[in-house]
Amino acid sequence: MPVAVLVLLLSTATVQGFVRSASTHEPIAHAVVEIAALERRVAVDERGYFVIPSIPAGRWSIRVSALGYRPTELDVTVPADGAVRVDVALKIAPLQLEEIDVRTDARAPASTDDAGPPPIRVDGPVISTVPGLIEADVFRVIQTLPAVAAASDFSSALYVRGGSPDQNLILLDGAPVFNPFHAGGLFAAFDPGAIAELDILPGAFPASVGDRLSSVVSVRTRDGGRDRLRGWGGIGLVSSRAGLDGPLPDDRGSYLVSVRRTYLDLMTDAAKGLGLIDFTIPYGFTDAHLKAVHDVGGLGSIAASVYLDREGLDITEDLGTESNDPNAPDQSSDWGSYAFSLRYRQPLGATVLAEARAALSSFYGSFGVWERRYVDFPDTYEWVRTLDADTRTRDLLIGADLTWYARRHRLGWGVQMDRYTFDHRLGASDLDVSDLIPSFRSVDRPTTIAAYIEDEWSLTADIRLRGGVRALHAEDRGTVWLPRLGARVEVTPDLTLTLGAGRYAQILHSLRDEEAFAAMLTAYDLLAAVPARIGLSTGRDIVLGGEWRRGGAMLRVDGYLKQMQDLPLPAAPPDALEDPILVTEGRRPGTGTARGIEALFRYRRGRTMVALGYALSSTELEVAGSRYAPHYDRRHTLDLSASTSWGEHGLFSARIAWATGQPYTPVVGIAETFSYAPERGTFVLFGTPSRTVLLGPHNAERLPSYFRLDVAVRKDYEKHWFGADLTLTPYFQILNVLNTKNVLYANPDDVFRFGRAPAAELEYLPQLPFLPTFGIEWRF
Amino acid sequence: MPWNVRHFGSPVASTASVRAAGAAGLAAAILLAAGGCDLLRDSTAVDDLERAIAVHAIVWAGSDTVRVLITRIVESPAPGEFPVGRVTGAEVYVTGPEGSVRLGEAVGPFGPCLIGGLPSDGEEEPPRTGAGCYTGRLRAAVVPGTRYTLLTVLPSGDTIRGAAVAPEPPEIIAPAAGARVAFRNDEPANFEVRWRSGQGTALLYTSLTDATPFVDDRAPLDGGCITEWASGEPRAGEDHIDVHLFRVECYVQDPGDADSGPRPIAWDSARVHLRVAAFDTAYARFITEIHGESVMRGEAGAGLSGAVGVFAGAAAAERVFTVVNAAQ
Repeated sequence: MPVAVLVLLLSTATVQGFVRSASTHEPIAHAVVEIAALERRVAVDERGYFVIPSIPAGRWSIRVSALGYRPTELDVTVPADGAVRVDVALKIAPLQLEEIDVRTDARAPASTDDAGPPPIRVDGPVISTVPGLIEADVFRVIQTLPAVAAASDFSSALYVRGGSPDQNLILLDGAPVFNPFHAGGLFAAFDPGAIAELDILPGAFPASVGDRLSSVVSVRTRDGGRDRLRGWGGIGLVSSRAGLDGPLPDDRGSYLVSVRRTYLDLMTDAAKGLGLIDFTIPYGFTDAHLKAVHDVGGLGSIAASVYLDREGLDITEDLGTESNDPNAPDQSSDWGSYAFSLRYRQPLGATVLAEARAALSSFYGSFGVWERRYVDFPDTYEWVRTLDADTRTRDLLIGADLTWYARRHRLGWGVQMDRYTFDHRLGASDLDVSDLIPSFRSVDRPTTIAAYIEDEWSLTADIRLRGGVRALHAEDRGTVWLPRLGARVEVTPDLTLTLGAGRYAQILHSLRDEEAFAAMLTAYDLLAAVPARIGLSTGRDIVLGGEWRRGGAMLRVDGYLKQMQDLPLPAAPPDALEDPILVTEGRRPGTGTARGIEALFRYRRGRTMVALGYALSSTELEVAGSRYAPHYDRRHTLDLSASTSWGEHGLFSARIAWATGQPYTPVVGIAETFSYAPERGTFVLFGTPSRTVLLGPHNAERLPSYFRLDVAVRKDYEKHWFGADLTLTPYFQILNVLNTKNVLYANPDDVFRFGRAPAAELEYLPQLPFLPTFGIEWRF
Repeated sequence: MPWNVRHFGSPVASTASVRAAGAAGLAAAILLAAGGCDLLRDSTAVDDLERAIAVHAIVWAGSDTVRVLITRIVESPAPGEFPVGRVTGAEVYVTGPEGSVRLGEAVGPFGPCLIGGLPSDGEEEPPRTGAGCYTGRLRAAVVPGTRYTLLTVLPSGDTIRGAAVAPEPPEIIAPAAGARVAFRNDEPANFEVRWRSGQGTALLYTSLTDATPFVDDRAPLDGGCITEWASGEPRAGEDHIDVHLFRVECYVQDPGDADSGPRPIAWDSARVHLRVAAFDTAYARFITEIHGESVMRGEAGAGLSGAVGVFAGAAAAERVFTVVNAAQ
């Protein structure tokens, strides 16, 4: 072969660029760019950026497709070397074309090129179509996924594949967010109108992300349109929200602003004033999100994101409800968080992408309880503070990543340093309170440094492999090496198999006792670093999955096995109703094992969508020789969601959730016991004997199964008001339409029976009953 | 004749009531708003419950008397019947360094193990039950720091075993012996009780026991006082507590006129017995985690295996001080 021909064949260049929406010019994440003649396909990243290296010189046809957009083909002339930039603007597909999207194209891959189990992706617009509690909540949508369990209707905390909520890394535009919910999960933390998409990695994640044992949930907010000013908002029963987005003045960037405020306190005050109810709910929250993105150079960008949340609960003596006990303690609580992130991305040359980031995330809480101490009953009393708490959790991080795109490889490496602050002060002078919330003072400022290197290798057009290692150094808590492996094989155009495995570690843990009943209802979680004597908590998993796609249907099945070591668990399985919410001392290293099979089926045709998720799972924890299923463990969960058009502009959606009951500790016996009177030198019986209820093995039995049917309807109305096109969308939804009496917890208690031996019974604490809500959304 | 002494303090620690902070109240309020109270799932009875044997016994340092109460829930107590099921016919042994002693079962309806109810003013000593009460005397008084074991063989053949170590008695530091506390019935008197705990102490309890009136420096025959007082519960590690004395009223019983009952007298002072009792960890665990609580089946005996209840050690110290009637 002549040398000149060889040189020509070896002459290659890089095709790089962005995929954006033709209307708003916002990036379209995870679109697919394909040069069919060369059998080269890549998925664009979350910023809409793509790189296809090593393209021979010549004229090539490039096809770009994305879910919900009309596919586009264009011819590109590639030079002998260097790079050619290709920016593609996709138009939104008409409704009838929605089913002909990237997911249904026989030759198109899924919109990810992860060499391993892919993330589960939820698009922002989907969030509002799933019936939520009072208002749309991204985390309640996540709870419908088979990999995720919910502990109760009252909480949006995520229990992923047997892991507890403190094992999830929740990222908002790259910044970790602690306690990402309002009022313990009753209300959503993020405005659904500001969310572009979220990815959840329930295991087997790559070396580039961490450091948690169970999952990484990455919430990405919209950049904001670059073409014109847009607005959106909603008015609901308990809160309202409003947002704006648009181009920056120099047209080289965009911004987004979103603000929400609840008026639950004002609404209940008004309802009480009208005599409709006899109580008020003195709770309020305000949150805001701001984001700005600006281009830097030709391909670079800088993005700043700020999230602010403040909420509080004030129960004071002038609450004045008829049902209130005037001697009940006053409570005043303020808590909230902020998360700030700054990300700078810059392609270096044709095949290297650099990213630097910094973030500061903080959660704070202040909690006080005052009780009356009578000097002269009932007229003269003084207020005594019986509980005084201040808590702060903060993470200051800086990091950088480099990604090198080669013909068959994508090599990434990076480093991240996290400087944590865990500062808690809690003083309880009331005996009843101190039984549940022990007094303690703790200040800890550990620093972790993580570094990784990872390669994704396209062995063939149908086989991708991934191998990497992450190292986590946590000062006196040790250094761990965390290998990660993944593989993805397209067996047929319809069927893809994935395999992933890895080892994981984390430094923080919850101070709550997950098994304590009251812990399920707390407004927020307190986090701390794992005790140095235990060291970093570690876990390892293996996930084998398969994904089949044809027409508008997709079926994904995953099986997993996860083991966790050095979990700082309370020393013994407790009596859930009596045990303290917080366990600050005496934790012991425990282990956990979770295994399960998950199936997720989705079908979409036009505006009709059906999703069916099922999980068979089992989780066991072991500490100090005691093995038990944690309270959030469910054997079977089934979730069926469906939506279909209602007229030309309406949408009807419904959700059925069924699950086997959670474990509880059974009653096995009863005995009578007596206290001792030292001054009399004998045991004494005060009237009816006091009963001691004997409990069986911890969490040995299951509560009744859980079932809930939710429905929602929404309809768009197009208006032209104030010179602008406006879309109004009233919605109405009912949670638990059938008013199924689901059980939150079973409280064992003894029962006095006149003339008969005492017995025992289970009193059931309820989940949410029938609950209708309504509101209206708008956008222009 | 001893007079009854009322008190408001108690060795029973407060039972934790579940207070879910923050969102709990909010959740409850939302439930109420939705009429949640009418939407609760009905409670379900738990069948086939084990009616567990309960054993209650405390060995006191310095005393050679041991009492062991063995009970079980009765099916259907008759009206007026003492509502405690006896377990009779058991073999009960207590073993100390001097050897083993088999306890005998008290006979009749009354016994020294358990008092039913609290007496009210002027009532006689409340009834005691002999049901399941086994008593006996060791060959020597209980020695602090020494291990004593309990072996019970039930008529069914099941065995219950226990072990207890009495703590060292506390040393009372205040009030000093012979101290005088001024008191008026219309103004509570506060005084501090301070002690030094002995080894093995997990829980302390203070009480005012007998009080003897004095008139013109003489103690009237058949005289006694009722004291009303209150104190907090000392936490573990604490070495003092404040006692609030609310009322002291003294009486005499006129001889030969038992029908008329005790007669109030104007007293100058009263000699009051202060008792500080120390209990071991078994009793502390029993009173905080077992008595009237829900507890794991295998952890329902404090110092015991094979039964619910407690086998514990205790020791006490006493101090006599004088309450001076400042109103006289």
